Amino acid sequence: MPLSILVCLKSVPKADSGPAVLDLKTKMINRAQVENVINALDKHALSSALSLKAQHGGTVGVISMAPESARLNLLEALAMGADAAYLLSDKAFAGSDTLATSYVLAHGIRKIGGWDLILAGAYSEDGGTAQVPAQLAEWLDVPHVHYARGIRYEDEHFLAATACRQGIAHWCLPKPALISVERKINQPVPATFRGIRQAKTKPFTVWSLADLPGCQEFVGLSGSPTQFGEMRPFISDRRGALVRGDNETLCRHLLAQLAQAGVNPNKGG
Amino acid sequence: MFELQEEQLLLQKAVREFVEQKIAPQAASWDEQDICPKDLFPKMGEMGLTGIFVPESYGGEGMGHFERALCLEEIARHSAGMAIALMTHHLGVYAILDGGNEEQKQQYLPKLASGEWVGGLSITESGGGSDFMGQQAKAELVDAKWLLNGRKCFITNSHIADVDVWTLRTGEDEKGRTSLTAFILNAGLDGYGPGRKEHKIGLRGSVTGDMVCHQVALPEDCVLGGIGAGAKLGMKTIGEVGRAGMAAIGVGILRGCLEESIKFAKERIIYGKPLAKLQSAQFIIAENRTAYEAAKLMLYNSVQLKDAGQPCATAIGMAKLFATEEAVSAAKRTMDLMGGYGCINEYPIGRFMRDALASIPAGGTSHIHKLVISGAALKE
Repeated sequence: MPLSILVCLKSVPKADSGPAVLDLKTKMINRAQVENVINALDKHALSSALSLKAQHGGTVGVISMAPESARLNLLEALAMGADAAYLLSDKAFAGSDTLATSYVLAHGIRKIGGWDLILAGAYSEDGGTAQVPAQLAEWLDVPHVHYARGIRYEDEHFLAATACRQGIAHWCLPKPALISVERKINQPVPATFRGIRQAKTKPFTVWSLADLPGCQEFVGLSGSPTQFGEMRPFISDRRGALVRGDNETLCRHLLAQLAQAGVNPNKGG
Repeated sequence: MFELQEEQLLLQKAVREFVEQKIAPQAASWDEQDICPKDLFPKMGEMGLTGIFVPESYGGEGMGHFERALCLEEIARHSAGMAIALMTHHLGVYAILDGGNEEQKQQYLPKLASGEWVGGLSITESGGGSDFMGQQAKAELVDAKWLLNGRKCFITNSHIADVDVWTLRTGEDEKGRTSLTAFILNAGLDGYGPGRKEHKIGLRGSVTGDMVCHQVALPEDCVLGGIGAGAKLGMKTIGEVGRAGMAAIGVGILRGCLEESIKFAKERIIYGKPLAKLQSAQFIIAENRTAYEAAKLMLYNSVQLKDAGQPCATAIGMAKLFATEEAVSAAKRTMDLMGGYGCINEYPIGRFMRDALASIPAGGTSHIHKLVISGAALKE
């Protein structure tokens, strides 16, 4: 049975672009001054979606909450094989923390409607919180599994495999569902020249805040429970010391150092 | 100022990622071992690199020579050797596309475009590539078959080409001038094959050597473009496609020199501060940047003329002359910047210097280009 899959993409600063330029007032990275690329794990998610589409048929859409400059990243996703792109872009979204991001994405996804599976990278290379996929699933009230390294679709269910300390855990999710993926799931399929030529012929929809009815409560910096605190440069002038000895000697030495520093290990803190 | 369109930006990005994954990590090793990875051609074919300017009806991508230049620059940034191997493949492809009849195009272009077959172009002989019309390799029509005899040298893709285009003397025209004809040869023909392999100082990552024909018998349908059309076809292929490719390779080497010089200048600490704080280092970076941007603009301008169907040979020649000569200068400047580290093979700059030097005689020496350019200027 054909599947309708949506893949969440994030535009992130390219890792080797050089030092990020920080706006000390807003405490945000000036993303216009660096090259922005598709978050690496989201490419793995997109490749998973394309693989499922190849097996079962259907469509793959990509959705991103980003400035207009992310257009090229979404075109790249279309060049990789996605069928449609949705860009949620509005100045009001600026400064969103993970909760606000997932909230806005949820509104966009509800507007698209009719999907069976949402895929996303487990975390982004810039923020690295790994919160958005789970938050998004909760907003949408769908079952979710994270850090999947294998996904199959059988009998109206998604079967996901994740690694745990004891081995591999197998999960069975009814659709619609959300799954985030880790790097080991596949090797992303790069865009081909043919795909690049076809990219601009595919549907590309841009929605602002006004296009998302009901999207009010958790929007942008003011709607984000996470607020930046003070920022100051960190200067480390601590000196290291090398101490050799058996475990008992080392422990006695450490306790003596702590006592000298006024720390009573028996009381804690 | 050229502003790349979205499709071109996507193309550049896709090729850059492909190069970073498949080419950059191996470039030093290919250089050291002096090998050309023929198994990369099908992978380049999957992406679209091997048939980039071939029409879709023949299995290609239907893009232009501008896009081809963008791709060759990306590859040459890390491996000029690999770039010239692909560039030479394009020469064989172009000769068949431009000179072939429909049957030849259908027979050869799809597999060349996909990268399943590797292409080549054999023109230069020991008497000199600059003396184009002085070629001695001969083809004679005997009993409805062409008999080919001769030796070509300094041929890129010599030991890996599956399909090769040769130019040979087939007689004289009505004015008594040498007449050349182009032929398509398939690897494995009796009496045909590579000879000696050259050990080059640069552009290693490609294979260069002799190609030999000894009593090679070909049917008449192996003639490409018609009897006597070989000179025009060969000159156009080299003049417009070969030299544009070499210009792009020069631009790629220039970008490599620029990026390595900036990286080193920022990281190297001397007198308690980054080398980049010193004016002499800044001047080198400025010269590298200026040379790169100028060469890139000359290249873009010339290949846009080609895509527009306008006379482009002189513009392409100027781009090739400038880009390759400047690449040598930039490599030398960057080695000066890096001091002793510039002589250490862990850094790519030594390879860039050797690649730049080897680029000068490829696709027409600088002296030949000066003759062509001045000839055009004096006629105007």
